[in-house]
Amino acid sequence: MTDPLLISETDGKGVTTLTVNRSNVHNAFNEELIAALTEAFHQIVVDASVRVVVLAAVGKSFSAGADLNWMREMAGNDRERNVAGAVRMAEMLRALDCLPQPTVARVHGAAFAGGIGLIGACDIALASESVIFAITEVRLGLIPSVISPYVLRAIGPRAARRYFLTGERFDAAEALRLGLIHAVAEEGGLDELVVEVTSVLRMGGPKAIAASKALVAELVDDVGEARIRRTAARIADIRAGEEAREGMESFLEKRQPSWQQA
Amino acid sequence: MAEPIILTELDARGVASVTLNRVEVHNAYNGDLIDALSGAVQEFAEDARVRVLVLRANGKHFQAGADINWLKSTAGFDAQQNIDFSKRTVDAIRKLDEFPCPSVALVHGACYGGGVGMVAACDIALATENATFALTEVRIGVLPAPIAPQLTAAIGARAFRRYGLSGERFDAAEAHRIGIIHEVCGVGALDEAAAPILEALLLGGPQALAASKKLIAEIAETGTDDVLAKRLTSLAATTRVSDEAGEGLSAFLEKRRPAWYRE
Repeated sequence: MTDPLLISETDGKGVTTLTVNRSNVHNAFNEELIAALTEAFHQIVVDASVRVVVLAAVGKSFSAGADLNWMREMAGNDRERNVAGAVRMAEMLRALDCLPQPTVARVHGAAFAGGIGLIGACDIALASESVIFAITEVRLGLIPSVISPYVLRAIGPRAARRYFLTGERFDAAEALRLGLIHAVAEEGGLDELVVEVTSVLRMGGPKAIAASKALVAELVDDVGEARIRRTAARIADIRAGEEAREGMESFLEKRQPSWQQA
Repeated sequence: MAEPIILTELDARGVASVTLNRVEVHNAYNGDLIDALSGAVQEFAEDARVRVLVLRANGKHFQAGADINWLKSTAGFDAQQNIDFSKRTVDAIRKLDEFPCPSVALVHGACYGGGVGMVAACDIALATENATFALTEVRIGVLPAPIAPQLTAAIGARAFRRYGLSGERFDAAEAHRIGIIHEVCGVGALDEAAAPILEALLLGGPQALAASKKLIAEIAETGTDDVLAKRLTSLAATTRVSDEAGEGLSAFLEKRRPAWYRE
């Protein structure tokens, strides 16, 4: 039997921790992981015993984003299946974003591309001081499409115009300044910080918390179905194009893509 | 022969530079500067060799406000000339905002009024630690209408409500805090600070970069469409010919307080 891709544990206080368990590929998303996360979120929505959700990951990195092999497979499908694959990723993020319980991302190691989307879709994000972040899609000829509603909501268009376009790495202090994360823990202190925040979240009335989340979504920025469809179509079209194919291929072959050659 | 008021350059990597070059008036903007800027941006937008655009300025200041002589001439504009001028400004800022490749503004010295809009319309902005910023329009009774969408996207409505209304100067550290500036560097160190960012931008897939820019504008709803552009043009133009702006402009030219200010 293989290890499950996602481990769910609930303590006696109603704190459910979902731990992504694909450390051999830095917890990159593929079809199965997207399905496992979606299924877990659907179960939590209807489980009133869950009061707080923590999203964590095993291994060296929180998330490396999309699994390139899965991306390439989607890109090679016909358009309908390609779009459907992107919609499943987008709907997974939307399911996380819409959970009635408060959600906390526990971020360690590195968070790249799609991993930044997971962080943006959680209510609160906590990171170790050594975490490295990057929105790297353009380096492969891809775009941060289905994650963009959540990331833009967190960091705003101005910071997005820098980090979506440069793909630069940035550290936890910069992520804190941008608003992508809410607090930084010293090395070794992340779990303690997570307990501190989840303990506070358990003090709020569950219905009031759910209603507060709904209020913020309604007044500020509900991502909505239309953006799910639009962003999914955009990434599907981009990844099927020549530039993205060259970008992904060159990455897997450990060579420079054609546009970087002088 | 006089030097051109906008200088352009394109290097072998595809880095295009547009440099404001009306040094004798601190790159103050008038109709000619707006048209030359617009033309240069348009030309680079159509040049497939261009991968990144850099906007910078020669002289002591990036852009130290409106040209006084030009301000005098606008007082005599008829309604159509007035609309036409506002339209050219709105279009120039929009062209910069919608430039198909990533754009980087390098700011030093003073950056006031429309200059702040030019910076906000670039994707990324770096400033020297001695740079100062101000949205001075209301002080002479006019509106920062042509640059309002880009400013709102860059600093948010909250900061706009302060600086758009107060006309206060703010420094590079504050510009960084409110988001319009991404990095602050030492005086004379703009090129050095920009180098790794330009390098990073050149690593991205050109089509992916263009698509990412459009994505941000669409999903964050920060773009300007023709309806909004027309509305901004009309707002800017009608305000400029109002009695209040007339008094503001006269007071500015006569170096006195406007009538609405009570000592």
